[in-house]
Amino acid sequence: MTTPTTTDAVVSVGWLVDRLDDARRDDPSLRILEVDIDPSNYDAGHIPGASKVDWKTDLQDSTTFDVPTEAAFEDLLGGFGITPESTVVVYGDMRNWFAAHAYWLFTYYGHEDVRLLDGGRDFWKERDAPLTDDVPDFTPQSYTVADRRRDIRADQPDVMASLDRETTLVDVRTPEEYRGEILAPPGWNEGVQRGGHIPGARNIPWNQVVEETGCFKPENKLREIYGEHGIDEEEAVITYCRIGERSALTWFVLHELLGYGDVRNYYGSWVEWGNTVGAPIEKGQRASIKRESNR
Amino acid sequence: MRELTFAIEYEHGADPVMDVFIEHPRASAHSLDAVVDEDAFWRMEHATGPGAALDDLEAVRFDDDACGEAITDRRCVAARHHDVVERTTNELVLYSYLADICECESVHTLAGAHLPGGLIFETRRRESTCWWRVLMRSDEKIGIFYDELGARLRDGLSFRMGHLQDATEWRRDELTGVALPDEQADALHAAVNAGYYDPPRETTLDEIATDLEIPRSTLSYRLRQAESKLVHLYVDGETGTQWLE
Repeated sequence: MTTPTTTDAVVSVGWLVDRLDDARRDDPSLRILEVDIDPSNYDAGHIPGASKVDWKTDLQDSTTFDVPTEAAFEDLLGGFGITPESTVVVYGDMRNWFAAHAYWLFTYYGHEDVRLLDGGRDFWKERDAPLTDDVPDFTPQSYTVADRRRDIRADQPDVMASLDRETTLVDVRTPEEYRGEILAPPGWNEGVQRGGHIPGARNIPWNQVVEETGCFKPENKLREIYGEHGIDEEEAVITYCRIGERSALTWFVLHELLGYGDVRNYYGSWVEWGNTVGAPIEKGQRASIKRESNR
Repeated sequence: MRELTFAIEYEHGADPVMDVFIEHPRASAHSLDAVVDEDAFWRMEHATGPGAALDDLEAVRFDDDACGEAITDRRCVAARHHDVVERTTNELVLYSYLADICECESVHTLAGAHLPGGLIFETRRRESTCWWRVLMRSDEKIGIFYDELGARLRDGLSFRMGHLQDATEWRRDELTGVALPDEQADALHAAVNAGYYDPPRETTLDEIATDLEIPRSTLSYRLRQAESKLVHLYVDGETGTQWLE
């Protein structure tokens, strides 16, 4: 299935094409944000009315190495002409990897109506939907964060506590990183002292949830993927990757598309865990998984 | 100049080109490729091995329905041009040019999308492994390339990291670059010029030793040393990919 349905969380190309006039108006009811892993993609053409978000400067605080402060987030959204009542559609390259992270951040800061464009930038282009190089200039709005959704974020103490509980950890990195064979992925300045994964974590790479087109797989297929690992909606889940971005896409699938009640994204992820003195790690394949596959 | 090396491992049945090397363990190929732009690249591929392996490789490369480029589930739609530049019983040199590539992703297209223009690639294929060496002016966006590559690999393909570092050598034809001590090189040149290596032999070690004014045993020793190095380089050098790791 490559023609997605539109829900509260995800919108199709057709849904957005029908609303492009609204997105270009100064009226803040609908806003579009492009969040690319490679921000220069925006400059090569973007969805009309879309504003550019640079994940490195806009979606993290380089001083605290954490999410942007509440004040910075408010300034960012206000600057894009977004109000707490706006419908915000986010999309991006690399099958919405960083757009999903933006979605998670918007949800974390309590924004009511945020949605992900199914398939992201590449699928929009593949469908020959309109592109422009016009950069919108909306009247700034006043934005106030009402509440933080702490229930969708895990920090290191939460993960440490989960090791003794019935919580499933989902490591969405590549199998090579999960097994500890690749310690420092080339090109990322995210030095980690140790390779491997958090003990007990299941390796379900993030790209397994999307089709070749970048669109999400149908719901039954998604349930099958996690079902194979014994993860159902009763399960408490913590997702993690290298720096908490890719895992936001998996969080989106479990929490927003499949409606699992207790799913948290480990913001510090492997960069924090792998560098923490005393934090236990596992390498290679889990013995229990090995046994299962040998049967 | 920076270089990234990595290997992609293939399960049997996962890729028609790599199946040739899996089914013919004595076959190997070395290529030099260049990306023209995101949608086009050319490749000069030098394959050696049994005739049946080369026949299979040629057949797969010329088969428009068998895509040996894609690393995802979708085969490449492209205008494919191939030409056999050289073919002997145990060697095949094949030129390929793919243009207007769409609807698929390959190492070439991903690199073309994320890395700076002017890229050079080397590949070494043997059995289930294809090693890649990507030479580039800048590795500014190599992290994006790496992540996208890892995320795109279809079932049956797996990634192995080599290294990312400054490029410090140009591995030309292994035998061309061989350095022998002067006395061994002199002995070898004298022997070749005298027809010692042309069957039937036109000369003897005694005659060459006399010309060089050295004892026969010395000449024999120097030639054996030189031959040993060349033979090992030929046999071992073919399989040597350790420098890529």
